[in-house]
Amino acid sequence: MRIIHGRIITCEGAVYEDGFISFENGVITKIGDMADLPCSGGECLDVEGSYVLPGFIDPHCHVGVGPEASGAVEYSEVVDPIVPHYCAVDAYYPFDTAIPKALSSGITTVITGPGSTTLIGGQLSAIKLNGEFASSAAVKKSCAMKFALGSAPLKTFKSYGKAPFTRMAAMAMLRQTLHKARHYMECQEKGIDISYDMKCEALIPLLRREIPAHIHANRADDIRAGIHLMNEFNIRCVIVHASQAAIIMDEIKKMGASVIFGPLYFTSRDQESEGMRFELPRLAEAAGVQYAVCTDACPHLSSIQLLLPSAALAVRKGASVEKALQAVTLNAARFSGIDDRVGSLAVGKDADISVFTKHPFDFSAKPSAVFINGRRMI
Amino acid sequence: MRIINGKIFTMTGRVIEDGYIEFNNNIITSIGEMHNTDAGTGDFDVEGSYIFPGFIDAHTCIGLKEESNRYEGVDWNEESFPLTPELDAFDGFNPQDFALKHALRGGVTTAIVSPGNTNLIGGQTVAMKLAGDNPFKMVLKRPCSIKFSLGEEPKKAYGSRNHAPCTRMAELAMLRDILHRTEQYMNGAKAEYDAKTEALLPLLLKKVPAYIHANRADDIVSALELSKEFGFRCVIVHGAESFAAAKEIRAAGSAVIAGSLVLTNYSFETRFADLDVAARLWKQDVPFCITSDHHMSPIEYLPVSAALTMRAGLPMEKALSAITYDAARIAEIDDRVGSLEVGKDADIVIFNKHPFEYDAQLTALFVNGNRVC
Repeated sequence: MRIIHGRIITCEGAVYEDGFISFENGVITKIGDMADLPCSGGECLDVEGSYVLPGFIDPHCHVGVGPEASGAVEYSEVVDPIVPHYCAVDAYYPFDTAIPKALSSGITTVITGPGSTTLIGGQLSAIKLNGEFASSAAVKKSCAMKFALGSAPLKTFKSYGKAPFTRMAAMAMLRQTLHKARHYMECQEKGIDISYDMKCEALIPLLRREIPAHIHANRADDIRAGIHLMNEFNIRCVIVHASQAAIIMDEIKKMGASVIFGPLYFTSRDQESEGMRFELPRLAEAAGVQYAVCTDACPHLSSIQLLLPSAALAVRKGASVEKALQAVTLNAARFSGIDDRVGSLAVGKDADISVFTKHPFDFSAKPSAVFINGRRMI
Repeated sequence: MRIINGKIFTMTGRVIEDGYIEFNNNIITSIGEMHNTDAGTGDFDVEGSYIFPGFIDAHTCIGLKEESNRYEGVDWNEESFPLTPELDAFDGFNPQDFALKHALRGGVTTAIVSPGNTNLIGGQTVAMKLAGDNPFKMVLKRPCSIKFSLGEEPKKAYGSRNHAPCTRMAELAMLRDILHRTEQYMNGAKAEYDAKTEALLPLLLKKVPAYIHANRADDIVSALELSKEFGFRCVIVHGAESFAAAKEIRAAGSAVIAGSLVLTNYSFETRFADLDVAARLWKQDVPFCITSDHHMSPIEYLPVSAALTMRAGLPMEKALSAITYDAARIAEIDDRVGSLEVGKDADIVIFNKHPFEYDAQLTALFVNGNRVC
């Protein structure tokens, strides 16, 4: 299968004004200018100058885990504040009505998972929106570990009369958990007998830097606390939401953390989220902080359809088009370690492709074609 | 004051490619083509920018459910009793809500401020200009309408506390009861002063319409029947399934304030609320306007939510009208705002590009003839 006469934006630098892209068995095999098109037969889609981009990725949402129009919300565990052994794939519902909406916006992969009521909420999963069960649709079942700092877990557990009530308790409990997990891992490595602990097991990939931590934090002090805690344990760190990031952008840069902003199309409901503005991507760009943009889609909060309008409005407030596109493609993939498979158009990557007759940031744009693993979905 | 060299969208059907607009004492005094006038000193030359009437959001909780505030600034739902027509949104409106500044930044100059959805009758709405810090000087129309609510919201708020209404049957019975009592009160039946029925008189005297929150198509039809039975004007608010009751809404001479259209479908009742609702109403000739339903979605991006309906097939002119002229007509404030015409308020918003372009910037904003941005 090949797509011809596309204005191909690979989202990793190269743009082909009049190009083609070939894929076989779900994988991209060749990209180039039309002038270099190898003459061979086979199925062919002439997109007549349309924009061809990688399928978009929402780097943080609750699609499938908190389905629309349903009471079956699976993202808030409120019994135990530390549940790293939980995994989003176990709650993913492939018939969530948010999924066809995402597809009709050109979104092909979501990072979905637990909410922010728990200090450690469990493992986030990267899932393709091809309508299949997570067992086959997952790009990576465990792609990041979800943490939450600030008022969300405090409010939840205080209302049940359980720790943590305060930020002091939250940090102490997290430190204790990570120390215990590191000890468990070191014992295993040295062959010292230690009884099986499912929570510690789940934290080993994090301590080995195989997956990053995604830390829900809004207030500047919570962002700082999260980054320092992760540095203490040599864990890769991505801050999620980060409404007050503007205050400490230089520090975020210096400490080497990345940020997923969002939901940006949003009315702030408490003081913690007050700084959540479309200016944040521009400020991150100016400070040299790597960023992505998410919708945080879940019932009562934000719609997955707002992913591209959110990136577009970041451009309105001063971000560059190139970085804003990467914020919903390549960076969204990188921050969950799935950029070997998705996030840009490159030979060897999955054939997840969106085709638009107008620039995808145009508010009236709808994809004319969407492919996942080389299969046409729209 | 005169603005010159602008592309003027009057919203009454006319677009002046290169025009001027003049206002005096808060009121527009002249609009026309540049070739019919000479540029003078003191003119504000906008060099080809796009000029629109200030945008109007016909259903919000701005100032009532304050941005970033929790209980301190939450004054939109008086959940102590399900029938509270005597409440006036004006009395809860705080002009210091940050959202007013944000609204102006987005070019929204007028909002209808309404009580929330938990009460069968929530109270009186008020039309406010969004620039200023003295609410008494910001009022455009008070009361603007009476807010009703049908369906899951009152059931949820009161049923969960074992208080009526627990069912839709109770909702309609309770509404009929208070409306009957208002009819008797109005017809001079001997009665003590009653604040609740007193507050409903403007509705039954047809001075103001009812804004009835209804999402399910059957709730919409119930609202229309109730308005017919008691002879008052009725506008449907939200209207997730309004496209399924198009014939009935048209026949009743009603209209829909649709939105927010950019939300997730957070409940079963809202499962059809989507960007295509506006286009489906347009195709069936139902009068409608588009709301952000602030704080449910940010009022600053009302023009963006209107622009996004274009991807579901709504023509650009209709999407623009849905946040200007049509919004003003449905809110019954079109004598003052909603279009650029001689005699109307000088609420004028200027953009460097068409405001539906994703990278358009607001460059100037006038409210009542005063520049506020």
